[in-house]
Amino acid sequence: MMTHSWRQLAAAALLCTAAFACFAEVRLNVDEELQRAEQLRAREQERRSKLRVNIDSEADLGLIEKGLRPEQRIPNARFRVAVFSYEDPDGTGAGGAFASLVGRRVLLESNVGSIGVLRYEGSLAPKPEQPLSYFEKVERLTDAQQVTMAIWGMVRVRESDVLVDTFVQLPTNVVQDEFSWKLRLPKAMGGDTLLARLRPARILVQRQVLPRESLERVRAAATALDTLRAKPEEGASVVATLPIGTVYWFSGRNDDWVEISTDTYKGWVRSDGGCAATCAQLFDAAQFGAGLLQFMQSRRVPKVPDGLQPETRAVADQLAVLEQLDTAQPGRFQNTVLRPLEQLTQAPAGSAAGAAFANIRAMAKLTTSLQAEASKSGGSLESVYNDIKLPPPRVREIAFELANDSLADPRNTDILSNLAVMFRYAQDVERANLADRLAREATQ
Amino acid sequence: MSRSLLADRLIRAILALLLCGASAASTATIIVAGAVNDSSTGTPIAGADVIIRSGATDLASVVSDAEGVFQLPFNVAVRPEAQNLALLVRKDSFVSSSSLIVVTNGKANPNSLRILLVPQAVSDCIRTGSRSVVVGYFRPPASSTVDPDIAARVAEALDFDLTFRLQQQNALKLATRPQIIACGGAKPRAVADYAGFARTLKADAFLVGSVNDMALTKVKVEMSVIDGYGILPAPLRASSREVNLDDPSLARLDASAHAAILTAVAGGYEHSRKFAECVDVTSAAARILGTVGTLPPDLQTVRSRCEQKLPNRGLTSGGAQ
Repeated sequence: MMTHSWRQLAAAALLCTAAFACFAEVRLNVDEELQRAEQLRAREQERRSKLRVNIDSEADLGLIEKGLRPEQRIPNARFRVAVFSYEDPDGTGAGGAFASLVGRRVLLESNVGSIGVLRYEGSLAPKPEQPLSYFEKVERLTDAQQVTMAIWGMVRVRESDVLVDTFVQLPTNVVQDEFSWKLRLPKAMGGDTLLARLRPARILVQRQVLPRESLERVRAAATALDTLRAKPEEGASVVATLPIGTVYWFSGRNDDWVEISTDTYKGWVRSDGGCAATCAQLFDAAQFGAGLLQFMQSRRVPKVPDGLQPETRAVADQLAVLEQLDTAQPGRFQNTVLRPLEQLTQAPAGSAAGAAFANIRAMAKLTTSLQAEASKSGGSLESVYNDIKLPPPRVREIAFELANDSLADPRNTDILSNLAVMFRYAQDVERANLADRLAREATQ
Repeated sequence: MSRSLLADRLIRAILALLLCGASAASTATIIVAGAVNDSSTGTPIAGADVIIRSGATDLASVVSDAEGVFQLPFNVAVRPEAQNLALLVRKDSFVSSSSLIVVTNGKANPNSLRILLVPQAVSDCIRTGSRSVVVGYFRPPASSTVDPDIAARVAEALDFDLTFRLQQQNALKLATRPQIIACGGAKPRAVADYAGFARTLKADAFLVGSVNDMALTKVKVEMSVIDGYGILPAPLRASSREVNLDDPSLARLDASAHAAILTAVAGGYEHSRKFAECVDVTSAAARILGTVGTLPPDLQTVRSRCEQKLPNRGLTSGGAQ
């Protein structure tokens, strides 16, 4: 049995390429080669599965201004996350550092098959030549790259503290594809579809208060994240600093050190940049973002660490209930879906997600009623589904409850469209038409 | 002179006499009375030219007295059909006004008017058809020898600041977000004038205030906020410390300023019967201010009123059918 090192094979391939014509023979063991090919494929997949690139946001914005679309970064990654330097109106100089720490953490913790992090460097503050607001710039860059998720934030000084807000934003198409649930009514009821989409899609994840003096550690940690060392040790010689525009990936791990590779060099960095205590809370925000990516891959509901903002809990609760809506057995529906929803719909005025729960509850009640009707007929839900006809007064009652709860969010198009469907089935034409009209007005 | 020529002249003379008699008999003297005031302060305007005009012809004119009062008599033919006349009022440094006076059968409607003249200094600041927050005069520090246009800088800061926050909350579509307008010429002399300026400017919120030491990079901005609809019982005062007016794009105002302005803006949506937007902006305000569940009282009052008037009420069981 002959074996060949990959280096020999690569040399042979190079020789073949250089000579333009290759006349060479090599004997290979099929089983070994298949195994090696599989290893290579897995290694390459791993190598290419977690990529990050630092991008100069001004350069990309300049292209967009000229009507050009910037190069698609890490285009083959399934999940592409844009992380923007936090807005820094008080000039702490730490806006980029917070973004670097969060971005790196998302990359490390996401545990999804294929992820690319686009780390936008440079200030997004309005300038005379680019008077767009920070947020407008974020939106433009996010749209141009068609990312799965954007992470951004703001650093403010408050006397002896700094206030750090971290936001996660899910683009409309991602919400539509990954965070929406549909209930198709039986054909006997008209076969229309009810819809619930995650709300809000722009989530205030964390409002963190740090002592002002900790900013130095945060900046130092961010610098350390881009400083590659020869060994996984503090004090080991510096190999390189990651330049802007270079795609890199993780190629190894040693306790809390990770090996980072680019096409030209590799080196080690501490995964937290040495900022464990100060950054622990910040990493919670990153973990939540990573959790949303995991949900897209595996439908596992993200955990919400203590200290995150109420909107994260609202998002996680919606995902949990909606997943139960998909998977709960008919007998368990009352406990796993409806009971939690009764509490969740009591959200206070101004809450970003209050009416969204009312919408889910309406869909859950319809589902429960449909299940009950199916069980009366004795057949399986699937076999009898399209013949089920709920009593119109029951549907009208559910619609009234939803209409009442939705006053807190009067332009929620999902709710208005669902109400139109329900009232139409209940033969309440006037209310169905009103709901249709309001839904149209809300989208204009 | 031939007989026929004599007869012709006689007929003409008789006709002329008949016409003169008819004209004298059907002319009426009408008096239109009124007062001219500054729209923003209510102050009487003396010396304003008041002219009554029919087409391009001036029928009569008068000048308002020290109390701004005028009485304008003029003659007009008595006819059963309506005649449209224009009452023009002109005064330097004010925008001229024109009011329609309809005369029918020798009677004018209206015959008594209160004319409110808009100061020219603020006329360019008036926006119609959209929600607006107008930043009026901000007094510079006493030590300042120049009078910089602080209103423009505060407006710019607010534009970046408030717009950013509304965007953060995904609240309101771009087209329906309030415009922030600088209007340094809007200079009330007393607190009692604030509401008049808000109404004159058709502003949802009108801001005036002062700034401390302009020599510093970051200044303290004191402001009073009043709405144009009488929602706020008195001007809300807000103080923002460490505001960088040298770089308004980076300046941030205090939460109390946001609360007052957003209350007035919500009132503007209510006033224009956009009740859903009104509820939306109060929800956004709650999140911006970090007061979800416990809105500031004035904001809660506006929200409750808007919720009551939502067209969505028609979808509820108690909704009108």
